[in-house]
Amino acid sequence: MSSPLTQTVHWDLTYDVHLGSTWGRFMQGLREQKILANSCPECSRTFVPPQAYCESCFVRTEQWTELPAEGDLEVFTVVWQGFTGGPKPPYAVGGIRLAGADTLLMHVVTGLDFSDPSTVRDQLPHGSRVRAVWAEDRTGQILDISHFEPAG
Amino acid sequence: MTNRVRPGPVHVVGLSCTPLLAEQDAVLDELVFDAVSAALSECALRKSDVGLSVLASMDVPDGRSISSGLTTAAAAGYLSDSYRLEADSGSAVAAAAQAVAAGDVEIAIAVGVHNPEHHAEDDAGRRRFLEQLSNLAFEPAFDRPVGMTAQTVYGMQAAHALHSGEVSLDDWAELSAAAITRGATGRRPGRSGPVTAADVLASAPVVSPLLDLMLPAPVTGAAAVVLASPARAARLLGRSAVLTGIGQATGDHTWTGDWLTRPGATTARAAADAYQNAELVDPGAEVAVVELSAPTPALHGPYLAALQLQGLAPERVSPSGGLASAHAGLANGIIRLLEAVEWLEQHQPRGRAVVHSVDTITGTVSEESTVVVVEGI
Repeated sequence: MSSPLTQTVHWDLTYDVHLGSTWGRFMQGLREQKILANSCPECSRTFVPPQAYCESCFVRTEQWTELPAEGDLEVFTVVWQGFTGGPKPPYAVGGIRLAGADTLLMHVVTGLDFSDPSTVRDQLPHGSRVRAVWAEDRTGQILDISHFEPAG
Repeated sequence: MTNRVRPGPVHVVGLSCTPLLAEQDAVLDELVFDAVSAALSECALRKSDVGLSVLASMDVPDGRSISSGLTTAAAAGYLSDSYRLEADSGSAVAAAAQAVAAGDVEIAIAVGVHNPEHHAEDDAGRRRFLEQLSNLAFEPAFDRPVGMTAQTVYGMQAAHALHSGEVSLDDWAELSAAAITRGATGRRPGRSGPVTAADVLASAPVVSPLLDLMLPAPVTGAAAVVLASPARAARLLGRSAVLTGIGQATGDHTWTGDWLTRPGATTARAAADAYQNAELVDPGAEVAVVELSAPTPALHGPYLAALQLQGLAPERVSPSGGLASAHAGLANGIIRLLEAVEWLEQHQPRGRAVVHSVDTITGTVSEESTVVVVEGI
């Protein structure tokens, strides 16, 4: 096939995404190196990221608590072929269940040796303990947690 | 959420698909026009006969804000009822069928188009762009900044499934090789074959544990279906199939983890409704073939179980090769319907097929599943 005739078009938009009071409180906590969670008054599930309401019970959440910055790595994947504008591969992304939380927080995971793709999965078995590593400059966003690393 | 669709009998009288290519040298509306006009020709209908057209496309891959402004007329929607869904075309089929079943219109068209406005030299380049769009579709405060994409979700779901010990990478390589090989001899191959399990295992790692040949073969194109009321269908040429059941369901956010541990849950909810509509009591015994939309071999088993079709012979599961052979983005739902109807025409003219489609923009996170029961008549 000959190369199709195309015209380069560029979209460049900057959004200021509203965080609301619930996520705003969480992000403010990150600046202070605190991971804040909230809970449903009916089913008692604890949410990180926090939720303004429990989607299951459909009631407002309450009861804020600070969770330890450690948890279990429930799953992770190594991205060998990334996306345009994304991090340089290889890198790992995982689902972390922080101690005391009923939900998964997605984040970058480090501490893996990427030299042999066939061995990566066994380096951090299901349920491995990981801890948050804080960014030096924190501005109230999820990347105030720089990444999670094996906790020992 | 489950969307209960009560279609009644809605007849399929026209079905068409453009050639599926790695990249189309065409404007979106040209592809839509080609698919719609060919589908109308099959049943000798004209644009003026169409009461409603429903288009499935998405602005971000289309490279245009409100890209439906370009495609509405090509979907036979000019000066008639027309709307666009940013969803897989399976949802467009459900919406069009609902309008016919409700008696709102006698003839409705559903059309899906997928031709991401990006030029790349190979599949890896096309995937990098599609993954960038996928990242944009994730929640912007928590998931997008940490690099979540459809492929990372599929990789994690596959890793979680491997951890269970009930499946192996070798099983998935066999499944993928068989699908690609089947599809290579079909009408719409996106990958050439034959391919062996060893070929699959030797392909490049993309998002562990998934390898290149385990992921969908990205192709582009458009597909359209013309639906008619029973009274109108009786006076028309064209296809002889009827939709007897449709169900739809939507999955949950990242943090619940259902997308990881219960990836077939949305499909199961959609299937329950579709089967109830179609009075399908024992799917394993009553369904001849299924066109499945499994974006990875790790989802093959969970989706089949959700459809209660795990007992179906392997050659009756996506005889077309499914997404491993060719995946045309949001046009996929109608292409799966086309493949199922063609299989019935060729093998069991009065048989019953199940058509399963999902959107893949955020993987199994917030997944929309559509299940359609179609019968030959």
